[in-house]
Order: sequence, then structure tokens, then C-alpha cells
Amino acid sequence: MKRLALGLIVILANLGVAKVSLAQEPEAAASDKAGGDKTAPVDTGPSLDLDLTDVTGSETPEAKKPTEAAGAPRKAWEDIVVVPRKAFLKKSRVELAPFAGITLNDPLIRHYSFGGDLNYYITDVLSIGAEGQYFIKELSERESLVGLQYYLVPTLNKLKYHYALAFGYVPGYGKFGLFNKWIVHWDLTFALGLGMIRTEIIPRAFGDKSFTNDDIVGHVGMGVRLFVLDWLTLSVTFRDYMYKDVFEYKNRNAGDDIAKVKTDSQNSQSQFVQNIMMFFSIGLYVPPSFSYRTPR
Amino acid sequence: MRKVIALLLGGIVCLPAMAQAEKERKSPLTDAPVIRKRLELRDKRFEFGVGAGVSIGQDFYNALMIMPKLSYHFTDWISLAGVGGFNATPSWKSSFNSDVNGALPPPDVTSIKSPHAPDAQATMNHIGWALLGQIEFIPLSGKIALLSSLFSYFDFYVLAGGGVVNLAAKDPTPGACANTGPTGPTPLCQAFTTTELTGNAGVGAHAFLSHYAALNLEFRDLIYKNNASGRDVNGDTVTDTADLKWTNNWIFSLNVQFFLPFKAKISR
Repeated sequence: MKRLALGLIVILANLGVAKVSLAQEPEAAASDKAGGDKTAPVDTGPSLDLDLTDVTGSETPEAKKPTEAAGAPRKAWEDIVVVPRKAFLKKSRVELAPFAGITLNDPLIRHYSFGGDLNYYITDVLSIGAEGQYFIKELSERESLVGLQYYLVPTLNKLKYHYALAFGYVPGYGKFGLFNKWIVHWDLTFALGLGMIRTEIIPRAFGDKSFTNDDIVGHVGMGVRLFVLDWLTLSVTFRDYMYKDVFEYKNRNAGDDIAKVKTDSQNSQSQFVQNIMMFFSIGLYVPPSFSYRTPR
Repeated sequence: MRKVIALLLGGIVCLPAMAQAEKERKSPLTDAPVIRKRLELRDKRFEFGVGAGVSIGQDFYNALMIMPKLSYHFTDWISLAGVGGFNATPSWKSSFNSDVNGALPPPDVTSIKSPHAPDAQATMNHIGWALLGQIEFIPLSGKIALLSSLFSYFDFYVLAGGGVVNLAAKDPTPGACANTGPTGPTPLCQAFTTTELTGNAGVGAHAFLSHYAALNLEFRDLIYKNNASGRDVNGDTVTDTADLKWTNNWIFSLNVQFFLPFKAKISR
């Protein structure tokens, strides 16, 4: 009999614990009804909280009002302080970034580019590196129509390959809420480079010999980089390549020696060129992981 | 025996209560938004402003356009917008246009096949104006720190829609284009000048300067049929609608936009 009584006491005690557990939520709601502060949880960290209201400084009195009606039940997550750290550190890491690109600003000839960047990050915002790319040309429909419509043959050069030293700088770092469900970290990148580009003339007359040029090229670039994993990023970059190129001499005669054609072209047919290109790249980082040096 | 019965009874009675308690022990972050106290800078607000757009990669004439824009944001992530574009530089030649013009013979020089430069110029068309409607889908919104000192709210969006584009030319049917041959009277050349439907697709971003003002960048492609040169394309020696081809016309624009009401809501 004693054991039966003991068993019933255990049962009642368990039920009591469960009820207390269930009762906690309504108590919080009751606290709200009584005028409890529910505008912000207690902030145990400095200004690292994800709270966005203080970023631009001037917060309006109305903006401080909670959007939830008074008396609504308080959510459990309101008591959690979210203190994110910078999601991706680059300092002392090497980035290998294969890319594919396309020229944007020439209506007659388009170039597809395949290559890569190799960068070393001296600090989290400053890098030094090298880039190289190989070009594949495609003549546009407009180029093919020049002959039909104007009885002219355009003077064009094709790009062969390019390599350069480049300096990178990250002036901006940001984060986005994707449907307010996921955080996406990204940064803004600038690049400045100096290198060499090899181009080759496309002879106007079929069968004529061509010559190549090695031009010094400078470039500036700007892009956006999304951080996917600790070792993986995705980037979209625009770069403007600027150089002085030599085109086929206008008065070239059939049978002219190619050395003479090149000399004549250099003397009379050099022109400043800007190639604006868009690139998509995947960044692979070594070492593949990093560690924080501060606790939060 | 009584002990066993008591334990079984206890287990049966406790089981539903334990299951209920288990349900209540879900993560406190469940259903929480990733960003709290977020400024809803777009939700149920009107957006209006004006800026400038420039065409990229046009065959014969670049266009610098005055571009007013009016939007209404139904939510923080979707909006409907109307955009106008009015070409302020109808005579801005592309470098290719200048090259062609320099290579073609002037009017006082006899030419057997190549058109004279003024005749070629006359039938080259350019964008006159465009009226566009677009739906903007804004999946990404957040903030950026510039040089570790300046902060700005940002969003990125994709846009899609349609509209009409007006194409104009100096002299759509110059005398030199008259066709007195067996393929006539369809002209040998004529500028394609009309107002036609266009597709409109692209991407954009807002960089907020305050709660009610933002810089708005857009990069869009206007997709429509065109014959920019106004000359034969398909090789039948005449110029008509059979020479029209689908074309991509890229326009980059930068606007200053204002939001109404001036105050933005803040999420929970």
C-alpha cells in the first residue's frame, strides 16, 4: 500500500512539474499586460548587436514604438542577443579565383575570357596578386553587316591573352537579410592593375599576314563578393582595361612585307582603347578555415 | 505486483505531459527573423525621383536619358514601378558611327556601291524615348560599412516588365533610298522609326542616404526588334520589316529617389 501511495505521489509531482513548465509563457504575457518593457532585450554586448535602428543615428520617436500591439504574447527569441562576428576573415590567406568574362562595349567584336586571379591578403582589406586570362573572339552580326550595308571592311584587332599585377582594396563590408531568413555577408572590392596584353590584327584582306602587339595595359575594377563558405566566395566584377593598340595600316597594299606593314601601322594607326569587361569568379581560399582572435 | 502496476500507471499518466513539455522545448530562435528592429524602408511607401541613364554598346547613337521613376512598394520586398526615359542627346554618335562616317565618301564624290556618308547617317536610328513598367523583387536588403566609418542601408533587386520605346532618325527616307529597280517600290533603305513594344529586364540597387532618400542604380536590357542602320540585312536588296532583328539595348541609370511617407517603420 505504501508503495502504491509513493507511486501516486511521483505521478502527481511529475504532473506538477509539467504544469509549471507550461505556465511560464502566460506569466510573461501577464508581465506584458502589466506594462513590462518589450521594446528591446537586455543588451549584454556593446554596439555589435544586429539592432539596426542606431546605425544612421537619428531615430524618430515614432520609430521607437514597437509594431506589435500591447498585450500580445512575448516571443521567446526576444530575449536572445545576437552578436555576430565578421563572417569571413581574409588576412594572411591566399585566394585562387578562376573566372570567366565577356567584353561589353564593342558592337563589332566580342571576346570571351577565361583565366584566374591569385591574391594574397596582407590585411583583411588589402591584397596583392596576379591575374591572367586567355581570350576567345566572336565577331558580331553588326560586323558581318558592315560589308553588306556600306561596302566597307572594319579594321579590328583580336585579343590573345593578358597578364598583370594587381592590388585589391575592400572599401566596404556589408550584410543582407535574404527574405529576412538568412544573413548573406558580402563586400565591395576595388582593383588596380598594370600588365601586358597581346593583341593581333584581323587583316581586312583574306589571306594577308597578321602581326601582333604587346601593349602595356592598366586596369581599374570594381566588384561585389558574396561569402558562401569559410573557403568559398562568389564574385561579379567589372574591369576597364586601357591601353594603346596598333591597328592595321589603312593603305596596306597586297604583298607588302609584314614588317613594313607593322612599322607603318605603328606610325599612323595606333589608338587608345578601352575594353570594359564583366567577370564571374569563384574564390577558393587557402588555408580553408580561419580562427577569430577575439571572443565575440 | 502493486509496484509494477503503480509504475505503469505513473508512466501512462506522465507520457502526454512529457510529450507536451517536449513540444514546448523547441529552440527559442524558431520563427525568429534573422534581423530584428529592422528598418522597413520600402514597405507600403511611394518612391519617386529623377536621374540620368546612359546606353551601353549602341551601334550608332549613344543616348543620355532623363529618367523619372515612380514606384509603390506593396511590401518590403516587392514593388511596381513606372519609368520614363527621354533622350537628351539624339546626336551623340558612337565611335563606330564616326568610323563609318569617316570611311564613306562625301556627297561630292562619285561612289559606285558605298552609300554617301549623309545618306548612311540619315537612316541610322536612335532611341527617342521609352516608357516602361516593371515589377521589382527585392530579396536582399541590409547595410554596408564603407571605410569602417560610413554606414548605409542597401538593397538589391531584380526587375522585369515591358513598355514601349520610340525610335527616331534624322531623315527616315532620303531620296537616295528610292528604289526604281525591279524590287521597287520598297525602298533600298529606310530608317526604322516607330513606337514599339519592348521587354524590360535588369537588376538594381538602392543606397539609402537617409530614411527617405536614396541613390538608385539600375542596369536594364531593353529587348526589341530593330534595324539600327535602316539598310538591307537579309540580302534581298530592299529594306522592310523582314530586316528587323531582336536586339539587346543596355541602359545604366542613376537616380535620386525620395520615399513617402518620410518615416519608415521598424520591424519587431
